[in-house]
Amino acid sequence: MRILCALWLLSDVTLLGQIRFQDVAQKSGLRFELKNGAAGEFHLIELMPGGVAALDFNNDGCMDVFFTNGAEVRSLRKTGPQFYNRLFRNNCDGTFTDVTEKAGVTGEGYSMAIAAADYNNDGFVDIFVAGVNRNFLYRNRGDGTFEDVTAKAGLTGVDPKYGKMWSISAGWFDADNDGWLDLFVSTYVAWDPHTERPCGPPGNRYYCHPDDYAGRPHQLFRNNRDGTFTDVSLSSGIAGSIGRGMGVVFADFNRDGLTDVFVANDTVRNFLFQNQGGFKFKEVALETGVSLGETGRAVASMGADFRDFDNDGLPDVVVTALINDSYVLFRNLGPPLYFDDYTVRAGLKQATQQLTGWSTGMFDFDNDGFKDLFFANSHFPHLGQLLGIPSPLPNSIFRNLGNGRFADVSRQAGASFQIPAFYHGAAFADFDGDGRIDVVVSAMNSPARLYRDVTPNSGHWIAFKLVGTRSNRDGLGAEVQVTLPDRRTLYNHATTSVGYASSSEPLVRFGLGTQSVIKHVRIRWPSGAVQELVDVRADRVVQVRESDR
Amino acid sequence: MLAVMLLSLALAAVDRTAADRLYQHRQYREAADQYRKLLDVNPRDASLLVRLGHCAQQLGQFQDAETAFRRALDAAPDSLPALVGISEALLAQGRPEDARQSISVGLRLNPDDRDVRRALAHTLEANHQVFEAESIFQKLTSSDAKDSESWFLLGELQYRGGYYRAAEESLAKSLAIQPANRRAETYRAVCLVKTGRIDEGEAQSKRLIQDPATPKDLDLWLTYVELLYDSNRAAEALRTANQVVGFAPNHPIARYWLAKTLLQAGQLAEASSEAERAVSAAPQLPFARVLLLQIYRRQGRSSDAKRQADWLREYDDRRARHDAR
Repeated sequence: MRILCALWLLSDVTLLGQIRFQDVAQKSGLRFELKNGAAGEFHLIELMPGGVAALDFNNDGCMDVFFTNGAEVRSLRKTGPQFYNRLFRNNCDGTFTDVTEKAGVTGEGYSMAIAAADYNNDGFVDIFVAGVNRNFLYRNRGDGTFEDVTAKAGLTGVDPKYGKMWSISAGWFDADNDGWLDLFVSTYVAWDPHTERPCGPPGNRYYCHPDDYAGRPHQLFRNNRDGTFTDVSLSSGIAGSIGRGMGVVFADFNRDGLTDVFVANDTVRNFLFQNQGGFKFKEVALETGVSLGETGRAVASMGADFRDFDNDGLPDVVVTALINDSYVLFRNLGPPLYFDDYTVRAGLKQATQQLTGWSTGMFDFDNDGFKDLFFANSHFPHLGQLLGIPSPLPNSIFRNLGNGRFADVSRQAGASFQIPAFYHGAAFADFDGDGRIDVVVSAMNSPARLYRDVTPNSGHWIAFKLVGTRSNRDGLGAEVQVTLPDRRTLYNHATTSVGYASSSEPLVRFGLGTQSVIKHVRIRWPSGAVQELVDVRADRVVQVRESDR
Repeated sequence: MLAVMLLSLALAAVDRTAADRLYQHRQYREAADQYRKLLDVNPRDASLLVRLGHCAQQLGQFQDAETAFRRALDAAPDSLPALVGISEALLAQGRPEDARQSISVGLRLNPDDRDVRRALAHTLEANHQVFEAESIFQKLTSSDAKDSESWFLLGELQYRGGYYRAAEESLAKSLAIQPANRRAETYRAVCLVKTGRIDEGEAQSKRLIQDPATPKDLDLWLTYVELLYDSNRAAEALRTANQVVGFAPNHPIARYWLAKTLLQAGQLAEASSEAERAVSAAPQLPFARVLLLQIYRRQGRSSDAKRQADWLREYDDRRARHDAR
């Protein structure tokens, strides 16, 4: 078996092509600039925006794009079209059309993040926009337009104690496996434009450190199955942990059938909320080894992804961070130890120490059977003066070598991939239907990028579009295990919560290397149902409807 | 009588030169003894008192330094070196606000004096006004590109702030003008490693570490240990960590790194003992506890692990809830 695996590694990892991207945003009509509204007053919110989503809002099988956007900082109002959130319809021919106004999703307030999923199980993806002063729940009417149902749904985000908190990321998951998606909203800090004091000397102002602001609790909203939600932040135990939340991602780390929540926190320890069932959560990041990096310091964690990078069936965690911290990769070893800081062994410590990262995603960009790592990078604006380097950065792609190590292949990833900017949000989807995973990235005050994956000699692939019946319609939380003819087994799960403030396609995707047929597929739905498929042909999207049995 | 007086002045001049030479050769204790003898003859010689203050400062006797500088100021109320010295001595005693008040007197006397401005920058940095401090150093270096000390102090400030790339550039400029500055070389070696110039940084670090003339700088040695650790050279990392503990046996971070390298080398029980020592040495600091927690988890010592986790959780929650500045 060991020899077989080694041969498989040799045949796939070494022979497949170099990961390459080509920016096609302008050519395809995906023209968007994220405006943070900065006007020289250095308000903290200006550093943080930029969530982006890949979603199929019109069910045509082609992934559309939604960008969140900032506002005028003092008033926190979208004072003009330059601040509108934007929805671009994928025309399924390599082009996009801006349908924001028609869809009714221009938004209001200073928006930060997006979480896309079908919360009411009507077969159309809905949109939650998290923001500093306004949150929105847009119900998809199914006719290309959306209805603002925020107040009716009880998702304004106003906390009984703190009022409207600064929502910075959000994600949909089925906390109690009842077939209806619940909403987790990550909160950053207590912030008020009118009371925020300046930092730095007069004439040389700069953004204050996060330590200058008090933390705030995260929020959990239970889906009442009637279009409304109940705030269960306190009773669930979520509000008991005060952090400075950033990205939020979901996976069942301990394989008990309940989806757990990882929250990346800025300069305080990360949280792992272990789902104990019955809408009760216990914060176990310290006990499970995923709270702090190997240095023992709480790093400025930003975005995260919660997937299995080493194909052992256990979801691992990757977290982006600030310069000098290095990004962190936690490997899940299963019980009793669970997570181990694997950053040094993976070759990521020195390679990422000089980067500042925001969104991230663990996807198999060359379809060789091992998930690679994408990082959206940029230092804080103006910090470059102190750093002695420019603040804008190019993004990074690290190839999974299949032996537990990653190689930085960014410099070989194509000319358009080298362009530096203030990259923040990133969403992952196969926008052109060629089986290779593309990336849309937002950039502060500069054009967004749509990196088309043009990796030559990419491997075979398969993607599962799950349709829940007893489980939530999108099948979020479903775990998929594919076994190849050479007995290798690969794992992934359905989630739209990826990276920082962003939302990716719900499809469960696998790179298969040289294998063109899958011997066996096992799907464990959130309902507990297990479904199996045999001898499945590769290189296509397979729709799987949850069986009634 | 006049001849005797002239002779005594001549001898004093000779003695002063000898004392200065001792100071330049970093023989601060001996230099201080010489200055005291000279002060017996002339107790209100402000320049001697300033020199004595500098000796005490170098010897870590900060209160004595402050006393000497204050005596100098008493003898010469407009003495900028005395005011600068008082400010530096107060800073070393952890009294940044008092230091700032002292240097503000110097600023009133001569706002353009470069020593005074450098001291002001130091007090600003100590008062967490890093941007202001940096701005002063930037102005000093831009007004005189050959001012090696200001380049060094700018680099040092950037180094302390973790702005390693900028620090490396400033330190390189300082070293280009004044190559004989081991601290600048040491900081620069760390910067090279921290900014990913691993090969260059490793070579520099190795050279400085192996040179017996270089004072043993904990930051440099620990950065070197970290470099070895990060590049999975477990045996070499462990050997170097042991050397660090050899010259800094009670330093918690040295113990912490020894524990880490033991863990990397697979010596779990020894790592556990070392991490416990690190926690004992600095119970209020979280980093060693995190390592200890990790080790206890690997050892299956769940109740010990829980104790560390509870401490860390309480510590972090306190920070998040109450420590907003």
